[in-house]
Amino acid sequence: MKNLISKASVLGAIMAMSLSTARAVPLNLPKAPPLKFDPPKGERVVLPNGMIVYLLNDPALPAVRINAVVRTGTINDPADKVGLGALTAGMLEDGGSAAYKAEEIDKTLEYLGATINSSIEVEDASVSMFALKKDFDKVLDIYADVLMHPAFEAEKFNIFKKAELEMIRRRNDDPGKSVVREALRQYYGKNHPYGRRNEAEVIEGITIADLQAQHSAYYRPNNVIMAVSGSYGTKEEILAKLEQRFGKWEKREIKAPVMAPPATHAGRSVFFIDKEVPQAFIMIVQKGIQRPDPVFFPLGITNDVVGAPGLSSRLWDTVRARKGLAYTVYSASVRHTEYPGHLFAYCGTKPETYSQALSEILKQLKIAKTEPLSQQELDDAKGAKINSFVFMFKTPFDVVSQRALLEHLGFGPDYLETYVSNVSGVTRDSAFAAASKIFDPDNALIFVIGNSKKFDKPLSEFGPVTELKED
Amino acid sequence: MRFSFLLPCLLMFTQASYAKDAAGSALPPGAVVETDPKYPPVVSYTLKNGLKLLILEKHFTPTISYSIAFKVGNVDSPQGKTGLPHLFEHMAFKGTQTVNTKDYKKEKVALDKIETAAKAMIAEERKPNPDKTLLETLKKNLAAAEKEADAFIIKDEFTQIYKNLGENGLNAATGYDYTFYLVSLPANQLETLMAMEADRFKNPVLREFYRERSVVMEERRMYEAKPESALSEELTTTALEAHPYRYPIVGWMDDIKTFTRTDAEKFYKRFYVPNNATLAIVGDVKPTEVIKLAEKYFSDWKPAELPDTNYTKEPQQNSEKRFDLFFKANPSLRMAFHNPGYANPDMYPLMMVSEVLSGGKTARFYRNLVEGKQLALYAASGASTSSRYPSLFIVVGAPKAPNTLEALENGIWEEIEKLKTEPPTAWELERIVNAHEAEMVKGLESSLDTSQNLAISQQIMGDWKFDWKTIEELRKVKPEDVSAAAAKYLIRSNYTVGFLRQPLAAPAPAKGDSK
Repeated sequence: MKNLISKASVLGAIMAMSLSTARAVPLNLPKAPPLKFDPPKGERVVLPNGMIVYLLNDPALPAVRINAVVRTGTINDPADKVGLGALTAGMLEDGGSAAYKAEEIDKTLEYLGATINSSIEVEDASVSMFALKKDFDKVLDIYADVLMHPAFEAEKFNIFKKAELEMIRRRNDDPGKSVVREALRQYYGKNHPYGRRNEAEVIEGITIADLQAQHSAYYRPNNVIMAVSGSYGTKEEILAKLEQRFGKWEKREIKAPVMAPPATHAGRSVFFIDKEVPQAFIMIVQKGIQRPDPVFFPLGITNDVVGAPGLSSRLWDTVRARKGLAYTVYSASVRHTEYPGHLFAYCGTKPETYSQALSEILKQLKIAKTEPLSQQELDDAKGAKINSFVFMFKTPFDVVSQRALLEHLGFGPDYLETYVSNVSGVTRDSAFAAASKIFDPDNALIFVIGNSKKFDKPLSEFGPVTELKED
Repeated sequence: MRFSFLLPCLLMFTQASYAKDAAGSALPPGAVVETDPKYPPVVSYTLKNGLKLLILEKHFTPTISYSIAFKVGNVDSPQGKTGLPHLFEHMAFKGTQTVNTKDYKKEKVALDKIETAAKAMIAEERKPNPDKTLLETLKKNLAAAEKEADAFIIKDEFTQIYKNLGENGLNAATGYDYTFYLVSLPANQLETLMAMEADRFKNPVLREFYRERSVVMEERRMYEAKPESALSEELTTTALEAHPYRYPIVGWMDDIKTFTRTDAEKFYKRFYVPNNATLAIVGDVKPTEVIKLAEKYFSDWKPAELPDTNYTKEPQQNSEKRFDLFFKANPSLRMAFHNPGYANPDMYPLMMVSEVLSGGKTARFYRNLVEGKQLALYAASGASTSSRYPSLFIVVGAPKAPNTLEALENGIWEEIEKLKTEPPTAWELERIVNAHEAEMVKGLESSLDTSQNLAISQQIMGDWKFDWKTIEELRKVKPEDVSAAAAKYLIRSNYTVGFLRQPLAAPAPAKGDSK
């Protein structure tokens, strides 16, 4: 696999290899011809005010999509105003703009089958739009005004805030979701930006002035990467349209609050909420990696073998398919930019045999740390990743929105172009070196929500237990 | 599971000339390409065994998306075996006589031993007073037989092959009406895909059946933990009394415990036949090539006479039905009204009723209940839960504290009553049609979604253009038709409502009472 000539031959070569599974009788599957594929790039343009734009014209469907990635996230919420980023992002969509009343926006968009949506994650925010080609100019006018000059209408804010409070009230209704949130909260620390949650009394105190300040601080052209795809005409036409709407949007220096490092963990700890539910919901959380970090590739290959979501992995094999202990079981790596993220495993299993599932997952995480992958596993995982590379470019919008997000997250401009060779370069040794360094079940935090009356073994067998009340 | 509306009209596809694919290659006799520019240029072809093919070229990336839909869903479960169609869907990932096995001949002997052991165990379990010691022995016998068969298994080979090929979206789903399987692969794997899928449905081996039964029991427990799933199940079984739509798709726990591999094989033989399926491929393909490969791999799949699927008709409801589901979660409600089914033209105005009430932020529930009176965190409706037979028009909602479920229920009824007397405006109806047209365009962005929609629409509604044609029907609906549909179907004698609320507190002991 070292003498690879082009990406097309990489795909062909590895595919042929990955099918020669160790089996007594060879499978008579047809031989695939080589696949020709050059990842589509789109075009990157920087407007005079610093706004980066990725463009990909595609006339196949009569519509245009735009997404603006904003370099902010819930990590930028001030410590005394946790939830501000979410309210700000949510109110972009709901609260009207300088030139358009909220009600007018809803009516116009819904009449045209168009959408404008805004959302926020831990380390990024997004404001997106969809419009049919015939309505593009009209919807773009609204979209630009919403992004640059939101009005945060008072009545809408009041309703939005009450909905957020109601969601907080309901946050423990689905234990499968609660366990993820609470495990991360315990792991990173209740006040840390990677782990904290919104609280009613804090949300109550957030004002429209706070939203305006948050918007003014982060929603700036030099802090936005915009992806545009679809049937928008020529490059000159779309740039003229964007320049006309966004050209006067003022740059501003971005000052994000300094973040303290998250809590550290030494040794195993177990947290538990006793609740009468039909399954025990389990999260196992431990230290992960930062982005960008080249260890991502060897670690990713290992986790693909261990437990990545999908229909085959060691966790799938040992917990689900062979023992029937779970419907959902997987492991995944979540990266953060400023400090390391986390590696986690998740499972829902009946309380009467929960300890079998939990023991098996811990055992598999330990094996990942202490034993290298077999050559077959390595080859299969690499082949799978390389062969599925083409699916990172399913639609024109995927192409440009992915490029925009990767740039925001700090990946180099050749990340996608070097992706296949980075995967190809993973060896048994590099995968094992990464896994033995990162996988660490002995120092993992285990969070369980379940009915202890039905547990087959006490949780204390897995580490010192802290029992918590649901709140 | 429901149909999404995928209704374009604005699409300008490259118009293909008759009986040629987009590249100009002549199609084989019997193949038809759609030439009306209102629709995408789908190529249709039917094999002699009845398997229908639909092919749509899309060349943005070298990928192919595949879906196959069978007209068999939970509604077709045998008596006392609810959930069997869903379990079979899981089993269709367990390999064939050549995949997942080292030596099928030897494995078959071991599989038969498992079946004998499992049947003995289930027979004892079903007794009114099972002998606990005997049952333990029978369980051990089953485990031992399973272990013996393990020697012949190549674990998860079917899914691993797809993974190695670079699959995307490998999955399947079972609904009340149908079951479908789907996957996307790099375009150079077209022949492998056809070979794998033909083998999958011609020669399935339901190995590891009893382990997968346990997985499905976990799936059921997962739903039981979710308030919205619990309420939905309770509502459906309360609103419907006789028609098999009343049964949960995952199955009753007690039914799952009685499934045997023999049951699943019988079920497979009845419904998994080529004349009960549509296969759709969307992506970077040549239709002539797809047809050639379909002939090569699928043509020896034997058709069979399809079973009678005229099930007990739901009798007319003549009472209002209400229940409280006690569940440790915040309150929500779910309402059901019987709809007349898609064979009845009233379905179109009824779809409009649903959209006028809840199709967006300008729709009445959002304007008046979420905003306006601020009673609801959310309120939404849907005109049907299934499509082969009459089903349910559903309304869901959750009150915003301190509002009560009763207040929200009243609020929803006020909107329904208002619609009966004040027809929607022309603007409201145009908004709905326009939104569906845009949804059609969105639906065509994803090849996998498109293949799924084509296969299901063809196999269940009898026409892959079903969603496109629906919009034409919606266009014909007049404001007064919408009010009339609301007045005919959204009435108290056709109504079931469930409140999900916290369990009642145990009565406080009287003073001085002690134990």
